[in-house]
Amino acid sequence: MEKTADWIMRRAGFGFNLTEDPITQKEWVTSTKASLTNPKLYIKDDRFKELSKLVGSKLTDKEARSQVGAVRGLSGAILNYSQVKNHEKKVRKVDVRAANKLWETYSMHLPMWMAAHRRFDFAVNTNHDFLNRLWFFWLNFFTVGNSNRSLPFLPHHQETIRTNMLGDMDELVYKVITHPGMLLYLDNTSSTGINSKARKKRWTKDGVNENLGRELLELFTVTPAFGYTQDDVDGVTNVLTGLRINSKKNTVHYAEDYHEPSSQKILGKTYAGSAKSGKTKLKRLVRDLCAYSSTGLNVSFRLCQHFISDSPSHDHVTELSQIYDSEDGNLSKVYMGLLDILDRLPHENSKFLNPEVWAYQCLKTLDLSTFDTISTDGSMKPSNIDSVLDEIGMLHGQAAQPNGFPETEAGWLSNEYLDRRLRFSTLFTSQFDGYSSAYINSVLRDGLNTVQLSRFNLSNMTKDFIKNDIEPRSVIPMLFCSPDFLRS
Amino acid sequence: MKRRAFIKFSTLAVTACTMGHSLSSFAENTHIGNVVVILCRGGLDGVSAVQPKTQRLKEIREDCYINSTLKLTQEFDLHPKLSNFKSHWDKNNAAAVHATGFSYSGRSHFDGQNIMEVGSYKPYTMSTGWLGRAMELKNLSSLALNLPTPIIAKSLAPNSNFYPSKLITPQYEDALAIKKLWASDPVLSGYTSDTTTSAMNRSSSRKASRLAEKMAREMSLDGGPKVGFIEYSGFDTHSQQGSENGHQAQYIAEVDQIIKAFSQNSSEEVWAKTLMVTVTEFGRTIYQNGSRGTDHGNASAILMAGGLIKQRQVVTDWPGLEDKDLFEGRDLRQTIDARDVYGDILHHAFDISKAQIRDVIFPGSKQNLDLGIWG
Repeated sequence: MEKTADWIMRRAGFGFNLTEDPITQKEWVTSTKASLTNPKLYIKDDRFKELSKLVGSKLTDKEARSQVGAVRGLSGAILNYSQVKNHEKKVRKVDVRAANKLWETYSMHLPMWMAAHRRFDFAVNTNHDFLNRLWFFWLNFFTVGNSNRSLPFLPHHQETIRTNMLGDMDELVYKVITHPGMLLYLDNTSSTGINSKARKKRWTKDGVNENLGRELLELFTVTPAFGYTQDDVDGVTNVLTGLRINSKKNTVHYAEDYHEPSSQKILGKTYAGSAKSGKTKLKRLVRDLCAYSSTGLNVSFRLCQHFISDSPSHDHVTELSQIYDSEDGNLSKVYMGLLDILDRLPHENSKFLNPEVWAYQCLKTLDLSTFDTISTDGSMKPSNIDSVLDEIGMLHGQAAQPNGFPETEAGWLSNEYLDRRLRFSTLFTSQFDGYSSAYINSVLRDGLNTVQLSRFNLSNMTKDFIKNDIEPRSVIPMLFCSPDFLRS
Repeated sequence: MKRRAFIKFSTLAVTACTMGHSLSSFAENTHIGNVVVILCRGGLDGVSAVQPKTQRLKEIREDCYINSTLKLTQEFDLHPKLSNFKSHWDKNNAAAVHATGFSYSGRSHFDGQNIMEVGSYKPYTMSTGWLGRAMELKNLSSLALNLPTPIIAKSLAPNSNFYPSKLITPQYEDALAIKKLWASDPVLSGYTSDTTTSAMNRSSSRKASRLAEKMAREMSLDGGPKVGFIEYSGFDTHSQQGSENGHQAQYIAEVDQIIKAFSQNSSEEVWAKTLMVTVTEFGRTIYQNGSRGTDHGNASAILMAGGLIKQRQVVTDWPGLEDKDLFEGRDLRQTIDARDVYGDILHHAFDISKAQIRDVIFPGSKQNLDLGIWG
């Protein structure tokens, strides 16, 4: 009998809808590979129009939230709403004009909450599960956190990753590090060459800032294992001097008067050129960095750690890094290799799900296509998806540090984290607000049958427990918080 | 300033450690103190917190130099935002160690944080935290006031954590049922959905100093945890670091507020046996950078406050700030291994022998330092 896709859909996607019949793993892998070979299908985005309509119609933020179902049923008593608004006002003080201009391309400004809703929408309502998982993987790989006024740029930064992650690594890295969100987050917007014209003419006292240069080496490309030195960090930093956000033209550009004109030696290679050649130097530098096998190993290890195992085998990492090297960093080819490994993995293989993927799998399991159906009791109302994701510990843009959220089980294990999983799961059984989903009501009334439970690779102990030891009302939280569902 | 002016290395501790102690003999030890760790992620700027009195620093830190300081010693001043720390200093209940670090010079936050939490000399070589191993050795429990359990607390010893939640409290029956479901899982069996604690504090503030109030109350309960962890990120002030005010000052002030909140909300008895101590991955560059901030450096300072301290002191083997003195010409040089500092704290707070500290908690460290602050 052919394997069903249930296991791989949970491991490499956002699970499956219990109301739909299973497909085979072969069918799933074939269709996923087809989407990888035709990236335009993924990049083309008709879902954006629906969200833009909300903003285009000049709804207030609150009304727009209501329109997408984020606050439905709360009769205006949204306790965290003003907090969110105040926060948005605060971060919009500076550079909001530039952020808004970026969004003019899409005829809208996308608030943070709507960016979160958009990710949820992609995860639950599209057929590009694996690609969406890759998108979320890269959002974490290239973390932009909430500091230095970076937040208004975060939604666009996320889109930049989504539309560039299917090409070559060097192109993705270049786009990401020259994005205003990243430039702000890692303090590069005023980094100025010591020998630049601006310094010589004393137009500014600004000098170099190594934050982005260091992370380009450490997190985004070769990693400390390569053995780079402080001189290499200094060299990369100098190449990055002069990058500026032009809020009038809605672009990031090299301000040549602020760029370090002297040649730089980085990892044994010389990057020479005048102040006018900053962009050329940076493109070459990124291309060179991405061509090192260390970068391929970094990407391969992180992909394997995300999709296969907390401690991926040498063989799996090598298999992917060899593809990376032989295909000159073409990421779609690497993803194909990753799919092949996933297709071969025995279904006993287990990996703890991060909170975001787990939450979307819960929603998908219950056939929930909007988020409003899980609004809560009357005391506090984290009914907006961004608040809920933050509560369970994983809202992109809120990672504490540039290395993002953990990829391993150990990073997600604490009483408090697990307590949040149970709290989230019990939202579906809340006695308040009612449910729009007849399906959830049926589960609350009748529980889940043996066939349905068998789709989750549950242990006999879990199956028995859910079938025999608890009331139907508790089936949903027990399933979602079972050791088997917390993993995939 | 004289080099090695304040350092005290003791051979007594080495003698004591050869005596050895059995694990069980300490299980009910009434001399056990309390340790509260303030994890300062991002790289606390030690020379801002405890600023050396030298013209040199003023010259090379034009925008980050602190002019209006609190007086600490003849050699060092205190950041003005550390006024509560200073009040404990005035009572001989606070101290600092300067030019210290974990012998790590890679300047990576993430490698550095792993080392500061597990206590190893290379990153990612151990899976448990140094304080977790100490707790396990002494059969102590801990409380972390944040969402994750910090690696520094990880071990077989029980750790609970708390962080205010806005999500609806699960039904008691569900919390019990899930505990049963997790019981046979080798990983999840150690965890619980603690509805009682969390429900009680659902709407409380997430501000670190407010969390410290809760920690003080929890640790003051009979049988309360002996170890506490509070995380505070953001010390990574690459741009616009500021001086008396500004980004670094804001984070230093929060450390001060944490100390204040804990000291004011813990029982007299608990405070008398408590030591609060900062832990950070590295210090920051001595030279300010081109954005009026500082970059990843090397040595930093450790701040300590609590009733366990009986003698105020800035413990240091000061390396100097001239270019020739700096590590790679840019960073404060490490002269005291932070493992020896934390080892001496564990020795005095938990009565763990120096031999056990060398063997179990900080393998490879010397543990020949007596901070000289214990009276």
